[in-house]
Amino acid sequence: MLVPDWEAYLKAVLSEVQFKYDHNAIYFELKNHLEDRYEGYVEEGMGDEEATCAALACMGDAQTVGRALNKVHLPIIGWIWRILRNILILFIIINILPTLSLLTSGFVSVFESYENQSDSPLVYTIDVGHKEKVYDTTYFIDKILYYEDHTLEVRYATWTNPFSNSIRWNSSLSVVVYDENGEIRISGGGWKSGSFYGRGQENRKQIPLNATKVVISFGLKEKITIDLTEGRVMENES
Amino acid sequence: MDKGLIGGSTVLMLLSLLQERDYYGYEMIKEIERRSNSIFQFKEGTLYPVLHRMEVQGFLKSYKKKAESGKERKYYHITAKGTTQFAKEKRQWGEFTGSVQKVLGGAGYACT
Repeated sequence: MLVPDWEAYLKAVLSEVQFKYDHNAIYFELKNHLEDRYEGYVEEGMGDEEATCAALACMGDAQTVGRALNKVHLPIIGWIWRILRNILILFIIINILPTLSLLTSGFVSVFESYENQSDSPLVYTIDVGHKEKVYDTTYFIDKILYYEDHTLEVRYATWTNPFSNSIRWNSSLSVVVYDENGEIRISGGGWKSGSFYGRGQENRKQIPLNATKVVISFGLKEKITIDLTEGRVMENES
Repeated sequence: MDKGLIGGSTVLMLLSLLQERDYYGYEMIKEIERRSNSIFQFKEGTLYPVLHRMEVQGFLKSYKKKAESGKERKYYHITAKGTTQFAKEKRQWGEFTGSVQKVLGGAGYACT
């Protein structure tokens, strides 16, 4: 119900309240009150106009009510509250978004699969299953694969404690292959995904079939040696 | 009744009502009128600044709910802090009226 007299009254009340954000709530609360009063009077047998005026008279002076409301709805408190809340929201967003994107990129990589580093057929694979923890990062050397085109591939995964505050240096492995004569100096490449959980592959080209061992270095000094002469699972026994 | 007297006890009466159940503004006024046989009649608009202040002070919490009539009302609910405040004001009110009674009684006694 909208009675012009009430509208003028409510506007007069609100004109005293400086904090505009509370206007809506006050407007509806007072309007409901006027309507209730009005309906009460009509039930008691008053005419429309009489009831409208009586309801208004019951409310009291608009300026008095408005000023009293203004004292409670202090703009300064309202603004401080609003600003603090917005700062908090902004703070949360700023902090959560990068974490979320890191986490998702970390987790998505879990479902990525390795791709063979060479198109040629496999000669042998060695299941390594070696775990090495270096500071806050755990390396898991999964498998070594050897292809007919003399590519040697190392598949591994890493996970880093997400709560550690260390610098997340991009830690791909250093892989060096040896044969009877010592280190084989050849080219290769690799990649690693994810920040918290990631997978990686390293490949080395032109490795002879009779290569004897692989030395994998983590960080500065931790190394493991994997014997290439043991545990070979030949792909093609013929 | 004198406005000043009502003014001092409005908060106490409102807290007392809200101890029983949640009310919206108009309901509170009707209920106070009914219980006091319409002795307490104040300008109804002034109820809301009082309610809003009590809410700011943490004695009340408000929420919107549809009443039986289907209209959406702003209901007030007393908080734990409000209940504590009620006990405190009730005690003070008891001390106050008791003292007034004593003075009246004493005056009556002295005059006779």
